[in-house]
Amino acid sequence: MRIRVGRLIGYILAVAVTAAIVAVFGGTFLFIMLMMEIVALPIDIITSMLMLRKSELLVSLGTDHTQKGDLVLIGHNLRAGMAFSSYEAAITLTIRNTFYGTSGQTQIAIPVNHEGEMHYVPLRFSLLGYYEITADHVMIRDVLGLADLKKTVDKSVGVTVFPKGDRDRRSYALHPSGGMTEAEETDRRGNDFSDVSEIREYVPGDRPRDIHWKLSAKRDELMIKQREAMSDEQLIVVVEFTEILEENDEVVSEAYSLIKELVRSNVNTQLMWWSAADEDFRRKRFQDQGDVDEAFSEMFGERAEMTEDIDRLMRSVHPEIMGYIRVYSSDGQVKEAVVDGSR
Amino acid sequence: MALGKRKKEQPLVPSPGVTVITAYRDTRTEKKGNTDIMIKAIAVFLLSASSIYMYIDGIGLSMSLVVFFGTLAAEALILSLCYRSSKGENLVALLFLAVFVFAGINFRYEINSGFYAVVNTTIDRITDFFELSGMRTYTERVANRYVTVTAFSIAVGMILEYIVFNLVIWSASYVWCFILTIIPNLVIIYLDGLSSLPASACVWLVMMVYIALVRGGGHFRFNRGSTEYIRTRKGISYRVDKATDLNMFFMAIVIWVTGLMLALVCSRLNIYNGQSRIKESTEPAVKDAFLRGADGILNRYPATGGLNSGRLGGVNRVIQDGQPDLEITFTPYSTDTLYIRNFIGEYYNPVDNYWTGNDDKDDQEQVSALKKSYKSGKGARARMDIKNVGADVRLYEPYYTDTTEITDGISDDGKALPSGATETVTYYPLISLDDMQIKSSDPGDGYRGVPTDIYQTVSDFCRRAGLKAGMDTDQAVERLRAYFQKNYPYTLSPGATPKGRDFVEYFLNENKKGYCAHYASSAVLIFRSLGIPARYCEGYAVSMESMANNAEREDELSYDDYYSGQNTLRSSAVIRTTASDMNAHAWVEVYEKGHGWVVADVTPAATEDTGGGGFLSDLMSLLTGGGSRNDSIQNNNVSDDNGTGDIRDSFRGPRAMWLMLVMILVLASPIIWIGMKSLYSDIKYRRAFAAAGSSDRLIMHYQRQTERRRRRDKEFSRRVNYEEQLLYLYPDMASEDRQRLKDILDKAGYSPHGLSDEEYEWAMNELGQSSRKRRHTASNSDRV
Repeated sequence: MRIRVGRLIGYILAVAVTAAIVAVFGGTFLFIMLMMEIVALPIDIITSMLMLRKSELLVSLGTDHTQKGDLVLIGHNLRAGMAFSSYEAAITLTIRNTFYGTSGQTQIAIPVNHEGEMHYVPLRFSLLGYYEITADHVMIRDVLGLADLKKTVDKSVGVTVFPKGDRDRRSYALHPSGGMTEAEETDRRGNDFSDVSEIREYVPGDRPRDIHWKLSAKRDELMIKQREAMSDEQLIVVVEFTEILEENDEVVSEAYSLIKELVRSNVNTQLMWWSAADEDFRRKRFQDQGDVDEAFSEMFGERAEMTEDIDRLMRSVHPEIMGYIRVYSSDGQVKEAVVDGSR
Repeated sequence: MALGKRKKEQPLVPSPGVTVITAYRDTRTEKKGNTDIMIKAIAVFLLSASSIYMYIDGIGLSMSLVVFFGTLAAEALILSLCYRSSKGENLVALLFLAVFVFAGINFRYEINSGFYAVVNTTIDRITDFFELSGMRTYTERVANRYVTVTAFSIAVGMILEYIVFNLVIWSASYVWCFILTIIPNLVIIYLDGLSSLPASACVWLVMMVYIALVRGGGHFRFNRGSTEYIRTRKGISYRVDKATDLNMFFMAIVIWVTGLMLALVCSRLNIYNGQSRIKESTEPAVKDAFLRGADGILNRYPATGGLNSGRLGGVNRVIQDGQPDLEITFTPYSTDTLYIRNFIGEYYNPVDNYWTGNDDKDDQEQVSALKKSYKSGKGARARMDIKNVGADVRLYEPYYTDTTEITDGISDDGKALPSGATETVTYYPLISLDDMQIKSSDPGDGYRGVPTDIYQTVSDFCRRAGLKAGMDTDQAVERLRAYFQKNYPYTLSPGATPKGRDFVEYFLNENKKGYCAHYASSAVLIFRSLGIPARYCEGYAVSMESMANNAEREDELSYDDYYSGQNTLRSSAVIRTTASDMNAHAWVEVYEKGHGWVVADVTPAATEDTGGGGFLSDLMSLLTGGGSRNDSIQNNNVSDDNGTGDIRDSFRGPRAMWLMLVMILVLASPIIWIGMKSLYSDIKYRRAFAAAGSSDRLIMHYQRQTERRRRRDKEFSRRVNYEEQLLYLYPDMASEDRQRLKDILDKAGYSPHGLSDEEYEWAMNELGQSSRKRRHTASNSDRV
């Protein structure tokens, strides 16, 4: 409880002055005024105690996800649970961004009354991530304004802030060349695909169509050719986090936009990012647009860890990945680079 | 439990990347704001109307309730409608000014008469309460009090309501509301404590509590914005909530009912009976304050009719209550004024301004002479009973009292007549001066001296008045009396003598107006400077006219017991008369060779007041130096005429100037206040701007521009983010520039890194240029 000393002194002074005036002037009218001032305090205490006990806070969000820069309305409803009201209940909200590990507080003052009208507070998120908004406590002001009483609440809501879907992306030399289906490849090239990435010995279970007959005849053992058919190729997008929040946002937004475009174009795409918790890269494949949001939600669910030399890390952790697109920030600019791991 | 922190609390910072938008506009907010101001207008109406009605009803006047309440309700409604915009607010101020001027001109007599009706009725109530009589009243030009009181109440009520409305909506200042609405009612609260607890008092109580609760809640400040929230130090706060406002009415009623019940319980248990001993003890002081008014507070000592045993100069204005001080039973023997003396002043103390008294009347030789005359068949011997009913405790004697024959009532030391006591004196009325022949010719040096400090003043005066040493006493007295009558007008409001000035010098040289004490004191010194022994006397002077008005014949008392000897009146009888402070007087005695001390009254007759208005005309006369008061009270005890004070004289000169200045200040205060307010906010902004970093400066500058625009342009106020606002404000700006400006504003607002100098300069430049272009375009299009 926090007592507002100035108001309390004013109240005491008012009662004292009124009592003095009653002592001097006498009379019914002034005496009633004095009685009113005196009873106001216990009424105030009783109503405050009841309000503290009976009031109930509801917090709601209209949505659990939004886009960066859009308005989100967070609703607060503090019902008194009784006939009396209070002019002010200050709700302290703690807002945490799990992606960036930032947090802060703000306060929203709303009235408390019997009906408990929902008060919508618009928030705008200018950084990506998952925001957990928690109402820790409420300071309810009493009727006379003498004190603020603390009520502990524990209400949480969360919202994921995604990048804006369509960006005016610079085009890269990144047109998925081919992306043909297997059937298309078959039509085109017959059974002999010239784009072979690897030759190896036959292992039971390999598909007969993969047998490199020419070589097998030469070697007198079955050899399998590892296709580089486009239908089996995954375009990997690796996100490299940075220290600076805005630049990081740009990087993630760029990656998001890129992946959306790729998925829209039916390109099999994977997203990878370094997870400090796993000490490994997380990989997410996308079948459709919905998977994109899900993947990024997962990304936002843990703190973004800056990595130095992502390429070296990729080579060491995933040497099998020959090529990928690295989305990163350099000199304040977001860039995409095709990394050819074979070189 | 923590006490409210004294230090400035640090603002809360939401998480980076999160902005709480206060510019968000909810369509319901505008309606909520309108309802909120309507609720407050109702509260103001109830408070103001109940306050006025409480008083009018309390003093027993009646008026048209429909017209009164209807007018005030209409005013409250108009205020609540017009205050929704700043233009409306200004318009309503002009409208009311026009209404007041119109009403003031066309209904001035009704309002004026209503004012005096209230004043007169209040005076009646107070005089009844204090059992006074003879209080001044004002003339009511229009007789129909029902109409005039209504007109006056509406005039005052409208002004009060306008002021209270502004107090409530801008600051919910219940202290000022309390002061403004309760102060006039203190009169009736003091008189009868509002024991009947009228409905108006109950409404007033509830409304005062309501406004106090609104203030306590903190969300009282009126705001015309249509946004749902306003920014606070720690975050945001809602603007208005009508449900809570209405609920506070209910809370106020609950407090009132509970308080009332508690008061009833206390009354039943005899814990409190409404009486106050302190109040009873204050009644004399309050009565005195009522009689004397504010001027009386400035009087440095209590004075009966302006006199206090030789003390001079401290009376600003003589206030008379007309209550009997002495009750005198005697037989009149001539048409001359009856003098009852209680003080003789021998030495004059200049600058300290008092007469040193001499208890020795030094007139026994004269008494013996008169006694001898009586015994020889000339003259007369009389008896007088003097009862002290309200005078100071002193000795009161008519002229030529035989001190050996004073019986009854006197204090043991023979120097005072206690309150309630009656003394019986034997005295020898002076029928003819020839009956009083004495041998002594020298009264002593004490009655000749003129202090050196004022000798020159007195001499100069004598020269001006044509008075010369060696003149015959009678001639000197006549000449002085005539000179005073012509050049030194009588007044009961001479003003107190400034500190450090001599009383006589100030009167003779500068003030040149006064009442009996002024003339008597000056005359004594003047006569002395001419070589005529003189002394200063105080007491009561009861004229024949005064006796004729209030004396009662005492037929059961024997004439012979009270009078024997010569009587210049053909028929006389024992009468009982009273002497009040209206009869209090100061006069001169001069020593005539061979006869002793004789009365030489040089106080001039007062000039008669001739009509004039009341309070307002007095006010005008204060400012212009003209006019006079219509005073219905009888004043003074000077033998010939009644005297009335001229209020104009009290306020001439610097005082009127100050009053003018105050009035000008009061009228100009709203303009001054508005000017100071905008100057203050401008200074505050500039200081904050100077102290801010580049990011904050840019935001402040931008906000200032958009705030002004938002107030004027409803369409613009709907644009809630930078993009929309910039597009609206600067449609001609290149889109790249607009985007860059938006990015810079975002960075300034949200980024912890701050702007570079280049970004700041560029953005400020763009905002400034674009503003000028916009204004230029707007003015051109206006011309087109």
